Amino acid sequence: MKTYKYDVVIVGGGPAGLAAAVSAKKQQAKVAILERNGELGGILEQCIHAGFGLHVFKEELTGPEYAERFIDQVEDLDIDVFLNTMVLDITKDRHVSAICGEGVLHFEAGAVVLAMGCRERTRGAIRIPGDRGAGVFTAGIAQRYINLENMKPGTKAVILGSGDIGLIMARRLTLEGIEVEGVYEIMPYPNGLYRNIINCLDDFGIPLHLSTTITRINGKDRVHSVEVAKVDEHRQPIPGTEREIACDTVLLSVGLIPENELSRKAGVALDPVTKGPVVDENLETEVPGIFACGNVLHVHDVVDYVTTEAEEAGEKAALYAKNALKKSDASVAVHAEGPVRYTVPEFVDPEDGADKKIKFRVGAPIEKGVTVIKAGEKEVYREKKAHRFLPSNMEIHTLKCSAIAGVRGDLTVSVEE
Amino acid sequence: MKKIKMSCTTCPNSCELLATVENDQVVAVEGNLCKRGVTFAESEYRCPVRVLTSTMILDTGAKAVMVPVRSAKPIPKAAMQDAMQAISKTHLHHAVKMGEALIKNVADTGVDIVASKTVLM
Repeated sequence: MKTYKYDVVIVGGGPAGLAAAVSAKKQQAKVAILERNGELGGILEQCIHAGFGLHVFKEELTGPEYAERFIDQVEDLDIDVFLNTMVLDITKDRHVSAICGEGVLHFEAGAVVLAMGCRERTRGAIRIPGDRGAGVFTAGIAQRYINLENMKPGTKAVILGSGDIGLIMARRLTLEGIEVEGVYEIMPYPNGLYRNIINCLDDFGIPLHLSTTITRINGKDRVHSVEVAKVDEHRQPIPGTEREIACDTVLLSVGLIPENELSRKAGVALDPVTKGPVVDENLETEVPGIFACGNVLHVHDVVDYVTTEAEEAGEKAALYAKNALKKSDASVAVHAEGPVRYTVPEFVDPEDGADKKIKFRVGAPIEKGVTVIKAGEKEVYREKKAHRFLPSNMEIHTLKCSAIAGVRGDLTVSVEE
Repeated sequence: MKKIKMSCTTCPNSCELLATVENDQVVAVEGNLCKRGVTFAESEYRCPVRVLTSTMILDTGAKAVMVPVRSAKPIPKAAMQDAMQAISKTHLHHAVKMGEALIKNVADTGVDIVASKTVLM
């Protein structure tokens, strides 16, 4: 068994892993990326649509272009990349075992960055009744078939869920001559970014049916129809509203789940809402020296924010490996309150002098509101300009350290209407 | 004078714009958080444009691989189907570099279709 020693071992070579690696390397750390796929880039390679990079590069890039800019940096910086290498286990003391074509590899890491991303929820996760014929795909699998493997998933599709990948695929299918009958969303509001609804549905005359869901899939060998029905405010189908739609393909865009099997093995505590690791402001998990960033930590709305988060995690991991990470015990907890579903990070240090980036999402749309952060009863942050909050958009706010210096007691983040 | 509601698709902020049109010209835009909203409203009223993306087949002899492609700049929505046809008719037989023009002046838009990825043979 081969053994390697690195300052920073990064698990996953998607957008988070790439940015974390570049940033750690810039801190003069010895860095390795372990990637189970045959190439770097992760999900960006199949996201051929444009819309990436507006914040980081100030231009509109496609997924492969966004990835290539980072892959080029990884090559230029001589970062070690292990492709076709799947991590099997991570221990609390940062021993990482992986398997590749040559057998088992062993890594001793000064710090580990978890950057495994997320995966899609499937039909099983939402329990759609009916037959089990072929033709039911997650939107991402259909995206992979069409964009990477040149395979046509079907001829007429119904899309369940208005997540971004579903919307992007509605356009992609239409452009490739596959009819999209409509997009059905159980919630009374869309789940994807608004610009995707315009660019992917409105532009092509594809209807979006809110408060409506698939109640049955029909077709023993291959899907031949689905039954849809309107739902009430408790998301229960309303009798009498059922309608049968002929189709041979069903795409599911019903949510993403951070992929944390390895984190669990390492003893990392997970947040029940984000399904990602609990982290402090350094993006360090409750296991010292193990950091997390990107969609494995919490599902992001745009990749640019994955990049900035991962750069931070990479830098902090490199500092940790060199025993140079400032760590204080004066951590206070950050709680989500009211319409705020979760916060990342869950802990901050009010005494370290660094400004805090607080990220969160709301559970339901709010037409006009402001973000308010309190330390006990004392208000320490209030957003100046009221705006719209959507569950599909991640909020990022900077809390000045001076505002919370000396505070005792937990912070609560809420939105006031 | 008329007022037209539109949603800016330049960035994820998705500002809801209210454009005032006089004599077939956008004369005022409200609701935008930045000046790109004004540019968007003018273009969206005059001639809506979008970046088109798709894939092309690269035949390496041993196997066919997919090359992601894009319009180098946004093209008029009306030209999309023609551009898609031109893309699906084009087969590649050589390695491509990211940004390399693969179809010049697609569907007479004045915009090239370029590779979104470097693909070596």
